[in-house]
Amino acid sequence: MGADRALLLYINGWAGQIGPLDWVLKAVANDYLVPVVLSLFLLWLWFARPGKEGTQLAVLAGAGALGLGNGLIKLMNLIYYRPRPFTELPVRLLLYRPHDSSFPSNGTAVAFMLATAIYLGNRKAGVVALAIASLYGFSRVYVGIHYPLDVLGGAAIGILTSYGVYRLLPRLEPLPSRLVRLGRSLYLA
Amino acid sequence: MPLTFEYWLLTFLASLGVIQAAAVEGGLRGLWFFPNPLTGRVCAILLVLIAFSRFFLPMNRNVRGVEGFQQSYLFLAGALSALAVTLALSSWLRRGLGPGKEGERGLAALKDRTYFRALWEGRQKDGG
Repeated sequence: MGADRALLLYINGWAGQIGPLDWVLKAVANDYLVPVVLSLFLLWLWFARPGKEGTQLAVLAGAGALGLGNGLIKLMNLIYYRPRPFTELPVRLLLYRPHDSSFPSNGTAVAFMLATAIYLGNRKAGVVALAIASLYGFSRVYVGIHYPLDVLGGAAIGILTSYGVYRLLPRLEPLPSRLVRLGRSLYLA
Repeated sequence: MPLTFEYWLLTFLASLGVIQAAAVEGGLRGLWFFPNPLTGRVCAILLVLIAFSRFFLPMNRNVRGVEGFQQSYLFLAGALSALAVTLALSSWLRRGLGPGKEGERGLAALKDRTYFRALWEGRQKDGG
């Protein structure tokens, strides 16, 4: 925990030093920008690769992971509450003050769920998406609303949930194939 | 306007642009708004730019407002609305397209026919 705090203070110590860097990382850390961009990536994959069932199954896995992961995090928040860094340490806060549990980082988890699903559907787009998700996680520490461990926990939950749902799909047969067949019959998959 | 509506509008407009870009990339001519792919790409970029700039530029969006789970279903609503508008508008704008190759099913069938034509042809085939 000591290293976690020290790393937060080091990263957050850069906040307010370089104006353009603050501006960029504040924009990235925003609640809306990265989740929307990554969701749009998934939407693009669905329509840009018609007939590729593997890609569309990865998109379905991403959607399933979002539901499952959000539920999992809500459950974790009921069991464990970690105060936000700005309530305990002299951090320079560049964003609004969230009051839910600091651990795990919900936003980072969602970003990694989406990025992992993109990676499973298309490696090249996935590498870009994972880089965006990592920058998002870093920016949440930089602006002072998460500890590094919160972000690492969120990333792990995001990756494992998406990958887990993707690997689980064959075991749920014939449901996923029926969904894709229904989409095919409606000319939407 | 409430933030939830603004967020829905962001996802609707951006999804409209992304579906156009993906349809051009995937060669789904039946979903294009324009016969020329270059015009389609420009339209897609403009829609995405308009969506993001009208949401982020007029005011500070570093505020608490739309919760994580709410964001997910608002995005779904925005994307589905954009899909519905794309299917209807492209079917009307590209109504001269088709008939396509026989026997094709799924999204790939929209490479050479519009959505409504594909539905109609599929129904005729199933019926007779």
